[in-house]
Amino acid sequence: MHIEFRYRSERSRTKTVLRPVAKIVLENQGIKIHLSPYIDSGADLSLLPLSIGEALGFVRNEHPVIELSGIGKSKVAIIEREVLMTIGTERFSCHIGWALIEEVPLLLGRRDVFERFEIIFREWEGRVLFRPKSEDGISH
Amino acid sequence: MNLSDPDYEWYLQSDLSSYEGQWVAILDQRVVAHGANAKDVLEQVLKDRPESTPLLVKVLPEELFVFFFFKCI
Repeated sequence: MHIEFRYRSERSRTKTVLRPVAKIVLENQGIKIHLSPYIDSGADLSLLPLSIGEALGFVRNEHPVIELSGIGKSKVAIIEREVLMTIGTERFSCHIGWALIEEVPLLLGRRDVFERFEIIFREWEGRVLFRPKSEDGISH
Repeated sequence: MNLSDPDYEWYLQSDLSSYEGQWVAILDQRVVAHGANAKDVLEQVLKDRPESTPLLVKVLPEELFVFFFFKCI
């Protein structure tokens, strides 16, 4: 049984682009938030802008700040945290990067996610399929 | 399995470009709150409907993006 997400049509300055968006639930300290991040196979880990981490009850002073690199020399300071993530019927612990700035997109990256699911991008159909690895009968 | 979440489905179809750069809370297939700070937006919704589970989305600016991040080790 797979979980199906879809692409969303969004305007850019020069054209319309299709971007794959998921539906997830994040939990921390009893706070649950439903979110729709972009599915990003190029991101080492999922990324949350500053205010969504604050909404989940994160505080800055408990964990070391590390840097993520993006295009060129751009870097984003983050704090790595662990939250409960739900995708479809799968609920699991997931490391995320809590960005210390607001100006980053909300991303569903690979860490703790791509190893749990077989993910198939069917761009020509506007669909993304998440098939839980646990259904393969492969231990992990 | 199509999760058929009405608010997610509504988000897929909606033009939210007028909320560029903002957080938007979607509930019952409409925008019920928006603003620059996700926590404030969420609190605004839960103040009136404490048991609700709005879908929070962040509307990107109208630029072409390449998303990738590498953890510096």
